[in-house]
Amino acid sequence: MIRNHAKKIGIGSTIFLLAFALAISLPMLQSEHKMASEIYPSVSLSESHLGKKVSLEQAKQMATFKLKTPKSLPTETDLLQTYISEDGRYATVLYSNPAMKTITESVVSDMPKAQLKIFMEERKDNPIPSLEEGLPPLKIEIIDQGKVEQTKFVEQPLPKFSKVMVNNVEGVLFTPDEGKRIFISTLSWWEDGTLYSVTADLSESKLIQIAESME
Amino acid sequence: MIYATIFVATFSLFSVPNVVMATHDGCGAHAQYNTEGLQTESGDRNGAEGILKIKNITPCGTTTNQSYGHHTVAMTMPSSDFIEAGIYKGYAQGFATGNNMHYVLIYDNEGGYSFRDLTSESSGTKKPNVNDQVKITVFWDYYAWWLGKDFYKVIINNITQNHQITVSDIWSHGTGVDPLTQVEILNQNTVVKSEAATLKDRTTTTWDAWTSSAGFDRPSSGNPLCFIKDANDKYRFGVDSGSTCSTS
Repeated sequence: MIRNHAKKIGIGSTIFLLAFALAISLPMLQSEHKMASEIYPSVSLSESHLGKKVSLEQAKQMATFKLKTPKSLPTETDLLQTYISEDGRYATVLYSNPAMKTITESVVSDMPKAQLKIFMEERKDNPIPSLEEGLPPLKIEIIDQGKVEQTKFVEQPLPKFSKVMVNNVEGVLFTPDEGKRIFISTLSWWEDGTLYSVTADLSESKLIQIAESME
Repeated sequence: MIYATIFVATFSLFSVPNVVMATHDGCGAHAQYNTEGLQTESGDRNGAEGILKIKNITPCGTTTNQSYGHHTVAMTMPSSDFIEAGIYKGYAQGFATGNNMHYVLIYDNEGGYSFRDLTSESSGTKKPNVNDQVKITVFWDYYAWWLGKDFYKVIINNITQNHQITVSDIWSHGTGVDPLTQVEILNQNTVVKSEAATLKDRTTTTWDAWTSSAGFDRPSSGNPLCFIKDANDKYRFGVDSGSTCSTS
């Protein structure tokens, strides 16, 4: 009898402790979720902002630049959707991969959940210059009753980036910086009049491997 | 039965604060809602302009990250970068203007996100009042070599009070795609009522009234915001009260 009673107390205590631990951990889990889904003031764009939904082959025909896609992709990566602008000057190709982090930096509210994004845009000039040139500050001019009261210069947020080589072409790798709302790495380079960008939660070497396999 | 009772009692006891946290003291869901007028002509658009008239911004909640409301004019770029400028009041991510409406500049590119309180940049001397006519102009200014970026200019001109804030050399990616005017709120019981008139877009160097536009709610269902399209270049924004859109 005493043993049974002790057993009941033991089970009861265990359940109580489990319930207590669960109840205590839930707010922490919610708090983590809240941190991960912090909301910033921004604009909200529709999927149509990316352009028309087309097949990859149609996009290649419509593009005014050489639309390339990678031959080397992480395993389980599948083509998800291709978009191209009306004038064919820019395109976005999205891929899915269940093992990779979903791209969250986009302001396109109804974009399909993609894990790898390739953005291509016709640009006549090579837009990857030397990093040493620096970024000019914002110039803020305050005018009252037609007279300039104040002019000030303030720094713009700079990304964390490094120079990398893609098929012997100089490129730029932007790496995650949560304070600046960059959650996933982007590798950009310019080749034959086109600016290419690959965005995915992958290491520098894997991003370069994807970039160098594009044809 | 005894164990089940202990479990439920314990769980309930410690779970109550979660409900309070999720609703932010009665402000409703911690969610972002947008409604906007969007210029729908195709082709490059290198600028957006509109005259805003704020009737009311009342954020629900008074602590950091609880809620905000704003009405802006914006340009978006092909890579989903954007630049928007307008009038903001509330609290989000540490971006707080307290109980006052302030002019703000908000932009995003691969280089990062920036929220700049332009009223604070003027040491609080330049701020909008309810019913002021405030012309907001956002436009592509020039192309520079640095990381292949384009630079934009924003002009906030308070016609009523005759003051202006101009911000130059705003770094972004590419020339524009969509000119728009947008009302955004955080938390469903935040209220914004306002107007956007004389909406224009810029092709190369000329400014033209919007001749084709559409309004959108994001998300499209269950959105407490609403809009009334008076003309292609004139919208009113307000609160959806079931059968009507209350804008004044």
